[in-house]
Amino acid sequence: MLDAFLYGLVSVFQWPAFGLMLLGLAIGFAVGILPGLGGAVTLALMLPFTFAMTPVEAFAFLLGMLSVTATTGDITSVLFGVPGEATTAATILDGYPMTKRGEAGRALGAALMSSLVGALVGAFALAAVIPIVQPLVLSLGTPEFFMLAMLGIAFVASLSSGAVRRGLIAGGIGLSLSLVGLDPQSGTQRFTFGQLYFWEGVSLIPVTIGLFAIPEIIELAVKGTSIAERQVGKLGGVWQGVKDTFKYWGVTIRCSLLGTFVGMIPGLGGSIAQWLAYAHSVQTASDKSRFGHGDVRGVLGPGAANNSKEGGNLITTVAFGIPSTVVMAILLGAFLIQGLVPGPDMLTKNLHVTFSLVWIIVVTNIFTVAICFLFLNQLVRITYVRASLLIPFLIMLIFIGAFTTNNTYMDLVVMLVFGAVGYAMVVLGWPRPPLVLGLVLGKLSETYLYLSVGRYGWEWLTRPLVLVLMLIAAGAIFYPAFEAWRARRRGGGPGGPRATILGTPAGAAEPQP
Amino acid sequence: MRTTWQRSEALFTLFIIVVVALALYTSRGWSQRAGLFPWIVLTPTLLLALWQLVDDVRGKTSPPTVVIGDEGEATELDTDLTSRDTARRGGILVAWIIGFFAIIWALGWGVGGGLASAAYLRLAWRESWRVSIIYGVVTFLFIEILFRELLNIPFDEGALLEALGITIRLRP
Repeated sequence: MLDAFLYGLVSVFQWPAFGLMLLGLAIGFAVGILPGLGGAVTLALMLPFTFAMTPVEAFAFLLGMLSVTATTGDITSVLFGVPGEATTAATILDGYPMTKRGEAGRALGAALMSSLVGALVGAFALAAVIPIVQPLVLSLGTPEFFMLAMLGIAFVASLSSGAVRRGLIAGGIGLSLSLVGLDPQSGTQRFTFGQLYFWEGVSLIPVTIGLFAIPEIIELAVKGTSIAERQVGKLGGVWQGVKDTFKYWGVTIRCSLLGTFVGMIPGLGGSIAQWLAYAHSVQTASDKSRFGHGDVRGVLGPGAANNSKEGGNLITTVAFGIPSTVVMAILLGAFLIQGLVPGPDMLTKNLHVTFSLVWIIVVTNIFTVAICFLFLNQLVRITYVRASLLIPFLIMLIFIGAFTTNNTYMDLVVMLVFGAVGYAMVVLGWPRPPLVLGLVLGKLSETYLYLSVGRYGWEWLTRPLVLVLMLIAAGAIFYPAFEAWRARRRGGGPGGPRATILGTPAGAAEPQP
Repeated sequence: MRTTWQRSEALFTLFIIVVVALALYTSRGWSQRAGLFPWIVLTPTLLLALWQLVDDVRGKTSPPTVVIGDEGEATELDTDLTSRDTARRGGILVAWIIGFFAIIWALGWGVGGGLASAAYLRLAWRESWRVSIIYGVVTFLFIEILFRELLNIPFDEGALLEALGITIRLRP
């Protein structure tokens, strides 16, 4: 095994694999910063170019590109409040307020260093966990996977401090949106309005861009100034962010491990890791009042989990051939192009390729963070550009990002509709993340439910782990109400300081449920 | 209902109720196989939304006290984000976003994007002609070189230009 481990390292630094990794890194850097144009689209575009490559070269190129997008996506999230990737939206919640406060450098330093730590933890997990993870994942059945999906939604909805009911409604709407299209079991057209476009369902990217990017651009236009409201400290701010990563090392490491674990679970490994990590950061903090207003721990958690999940994603993809995300599904295509069959072979005769994946993640993330730190001041200056020059650029980016999903104008219409919905949600204090999460999890949840009912009838509801997950979900929903009740009993009243979590302002919480 | 915010909140909840109710109504004829998950999702969502509306109408909900993400600005939303001036500026941008869409659809991504960007700068922000034109040209080149040439995104030529038989590209 040690031979394969070392051979994997050497093969990454051989030419042309190393050159291709740098090329992938450059492309990933650009793609990650451009909102909407995500890793999945780029992987799909680049896949045809890997036919002539060896396995290590192909993965150096593709995985190198992918690893970078997870990190650089945080940059636009922090600087513009626009998620560079759908998987970096959670960084906005505290990263963008920090930028507005003039702490863009510190937020970026924290995001980048926590990303590096997360990536290293994820890579280590990939190397260490493969031999033991198989029985763990295989012990879970479809009922447990269904409940895990529901737990994810309940968890995020419950974080909409004081607006749990709205969070659940938003989650329900997200799940309902995922139903649009042809029913995978019976072929029935559901909510398609007779339009061919809707047969494939509502795409995540236009919805995410609409919900998150358009309200921010409108706010930018309304204010009419640059994003930064104060001057940003230069390197001092950045190093403060780096120090924060190690000052709050517990949050960083725990969120890295959380991201790795979530990344291993099929369907949960994409956007969800960041939200769960954010939730964990909030829940484990003694002082929650600054979350949502620019608490650096709200940047560290999602940053670490977002990168560590890639290692987790690869575990199930490599070991079982089960892609956890769309991106991994495309990467699975690269495995097949290279004549590699995921499964036992990847742990035996192709073990060096598996270990090369580990090293690619490590090396590209170190390079990425180093490059980002070198050019951070230039990136931070972007926030000083006046709004008039930023707005048309951002409009074009979100338009192109939405369009590239399916290369159709209907995606732009969907984006505009959800832009209006997103703006209304912002103004009225409705949480947006549960809606996106519902859309992400919907199809998968339905499949799990269908398989559970088909295989176990309604008996699946009595499975021990399902019951445990149900109890946790119920606890997640009712705990905030219990906490509020307890606070009232203590005489603190409803008007005390409350955390602003997941886009719902604290003040919106009282007195509504 | 006393404030603009509360009226808007109730209207938004009502909009959600109408959409969810219509979805539930549409799904009534589906087989159990196709309808099970939609019914499981839509029914509680509708009930929760109705509960929310009742609270909205009874005035039990209140507006957020701070603008999202605005550290330290305890600004009432019904006197800020819903103020006339703010609404006007937001409305102008929404109109421009729709305008971008229309221009790109008619003239294509490169030409339309460049033209819309330049027009936006000149008309909405009173930028100088020089800045606006340079910005428009850079946008055109950015789209054509990065997205069309390097990333091979299949942009169309725009409905109007196609109808006129005109093609404007860096490379034919």
